[in-house]
Amino acid sequence: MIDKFRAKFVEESSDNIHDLEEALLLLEKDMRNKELIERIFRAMHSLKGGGAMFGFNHLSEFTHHLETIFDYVRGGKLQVSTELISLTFSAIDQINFLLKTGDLTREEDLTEQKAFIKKLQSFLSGSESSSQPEEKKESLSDVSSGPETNEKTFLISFLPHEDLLKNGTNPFYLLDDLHAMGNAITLAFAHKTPSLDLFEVSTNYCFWQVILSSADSINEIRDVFIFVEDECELHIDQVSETSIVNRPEVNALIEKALQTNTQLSVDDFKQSEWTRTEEQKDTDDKKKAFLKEHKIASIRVASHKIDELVTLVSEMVTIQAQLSLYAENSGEPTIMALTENIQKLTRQLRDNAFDVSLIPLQSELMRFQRLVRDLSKEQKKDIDFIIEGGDLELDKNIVEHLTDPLLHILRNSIDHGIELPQERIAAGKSPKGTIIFKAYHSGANVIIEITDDGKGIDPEFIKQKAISKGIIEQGATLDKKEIFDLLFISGFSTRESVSDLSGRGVGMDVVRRKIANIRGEVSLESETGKGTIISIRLPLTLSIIDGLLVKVANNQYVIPISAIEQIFAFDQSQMKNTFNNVVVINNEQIPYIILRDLFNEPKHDDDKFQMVLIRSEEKKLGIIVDAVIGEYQTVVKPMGRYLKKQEIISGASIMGDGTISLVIDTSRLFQSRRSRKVTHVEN
Amino acid sequence: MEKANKTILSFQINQNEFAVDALQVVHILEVPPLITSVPNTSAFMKGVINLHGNIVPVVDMRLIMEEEIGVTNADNAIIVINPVDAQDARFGIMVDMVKEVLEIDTANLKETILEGKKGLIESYEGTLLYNDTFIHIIDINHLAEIIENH
Repeated sequence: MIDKFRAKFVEESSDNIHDLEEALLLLEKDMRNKELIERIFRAMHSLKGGGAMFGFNHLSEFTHHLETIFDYVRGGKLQVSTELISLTFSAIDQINFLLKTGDLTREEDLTEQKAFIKKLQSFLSGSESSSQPEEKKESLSDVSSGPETNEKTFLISFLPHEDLLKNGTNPFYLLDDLHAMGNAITLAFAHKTPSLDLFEVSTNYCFWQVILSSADSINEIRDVFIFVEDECELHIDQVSETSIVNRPEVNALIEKALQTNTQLSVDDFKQSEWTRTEEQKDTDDKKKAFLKEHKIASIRVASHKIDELVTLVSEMVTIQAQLSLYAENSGEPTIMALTENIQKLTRQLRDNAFDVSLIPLQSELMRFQRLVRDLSKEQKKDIDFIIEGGDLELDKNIVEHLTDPLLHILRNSIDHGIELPQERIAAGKSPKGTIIFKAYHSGANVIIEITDDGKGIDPEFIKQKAISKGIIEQGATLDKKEIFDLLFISGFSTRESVSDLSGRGVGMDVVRRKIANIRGEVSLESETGKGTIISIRLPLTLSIIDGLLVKVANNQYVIPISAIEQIFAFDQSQMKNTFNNVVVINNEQIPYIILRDLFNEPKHDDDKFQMVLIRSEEKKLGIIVDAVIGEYQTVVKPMGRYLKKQEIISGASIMGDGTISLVIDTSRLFQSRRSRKVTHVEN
Repeated sequence: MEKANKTILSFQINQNEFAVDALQVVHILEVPPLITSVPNTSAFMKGVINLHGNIVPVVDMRLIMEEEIGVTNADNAIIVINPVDAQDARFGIMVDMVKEVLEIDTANLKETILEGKKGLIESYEGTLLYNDTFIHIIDINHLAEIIENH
């Protein structure tokens, strides 16, 4: 059970860390931004609290020190500096490490951690903070506060606004948190609740006062309410230097307050003789914090649940189509009307479900920014990383598979593309290099372009390299595009030495393969001295495609519309004199494949058939089918592990009547054509 | 052999009886009117069917056992098997007739004699003599491997 919670914590913490990194990157550009500092502080605070709760003690301890620093920053006692940000970045890496491994056990890790904490502390002592907070003096061991010795008593008035409940806040959890901090008595005031006919369930009518004896500071109590600060009026006052909860005098006060429905005030406590409170109300504390809260606009759902939802919805779409068919045949008006309504709903449901499975590219971009920042610092290169279209949404399965190739491409750009500032100046360019990451829609595709203004790729160099590796023959004439295509051939890496950053055996061939796995295409353009553009063309979603339904022998097949250029009607006479399976269309020679041949089906006896012209990158190919049935939006389902060897068929789709159509992978068709040539020779 | 109970589902192919572990059987279906054939696959791969919105491949057990395809009638059935608990590992086997579910004691199992056997399956869990008939229990994981590798 606890493991489950731990896993959840780790997952949530990655979000926090993500948030932290994002805020830090922004802070680096705007070092005085109070809001960002608050955001960083909050993220650290959640990490610390959660860490302690789920047994990540080292994490909690470590974050505590980090948090202290930012508490100083928050209080204006410490200035944000580049060193501080760099230190925090490396601290984040440590936090990530701690999250992954849990508590440290290895001796060297522990010493490393201690050293790191020292570094953090030295940062604090280095700053000219006049007042040393108690926390600083605490030794490492007593992060979890020891026995409650110097308890004070606070009066907390929590007056939530009417709409507190609307965003899902449960005030009782907050009260529970207070109770967990020490000895507490809660007074609930519910007299504002209207009679039942005026009562609205989502409106909050109650407010609470809590008398709390705790060793914690006002700030720590305030932190309990950190997420509802905007939705309530909150007063926290110290009413006594000692623990006075459960004293008869206090109980009498409570009794009186509840009977008359009047709130307790600080003065009530003052009148009594036991108080020895010094007037030390910080005006700061009184001031209500109007922090712009980072609202939770989304919830976390396990991705398999979304997959399941999408599966169920697609099944429903299928059944619904059957129902429509039945209703139409029955001719009964009531059923027809009902079916129409169901059809509308299902369509909305389907669009919604697919929308849910899309995630913004943004979620991965942070890693890229971090990579560019770290690498450029490391290599002493000055790089401006510009992101355009980061809010573009893609199927989560695509985004998942996209990260690694993109990271690799970016690494290449920094590593081999962008030159050192002095080289750039010598080449007459601005010393600052630019990498532009651009994502945009293009029809049913998404295009991602990574452009750098580095030194580009020298085609001659690649050609020589390819010759020396025996990939091409001496004297072969290749145009620029063909030369760049060589980069994608496996085993071709232009760098002699394997650098730490890229070229760890993962070359552009792997990039192309990984992108091809998610039905994408990569291409590269480069101009020596000017820079390189790598573009990736991707489908919007993996599970749903717009397809053209065609008939071949007894089966129906789906060809993705995104690959289709044109459809032609043919008859036998037009292909009589073709020895190499090529037809001429608009003075262009186009090779074709007869699907019946490819699928080993008997020859078509009708002499009328249709040709679907498909395109992959620059190549064109005609596919001869018996007939085109029509356009069809379809959900692609996997064929399962037993049919994996069936490469031309990438999946299957269930039609409205429950029958199955097979989905053709057009890029494989191009390949199959090549391999077929080879087998023919062998035969 | 160690004494243990096992539940098996027996079926018939021509005059022979075979069985599979009943715990790995997820469905028994009538043969649907249309099985979508997948091009360029082994002869025994009949094609794919739509099982509650999922694509499930179906193999003809008679071809795997290299038996003649005998009678085609309403008794023909597809047994859907899930060797490991994963959606994409499901497959259906088409048999002449599903017989019955039997509780057996594995101590009564005898080694299956493979000399002179027909078909692609090389590994059996054993053979049981039941009501004067031999029932050969097929190793499902082995069957799955055959389908995957052909």
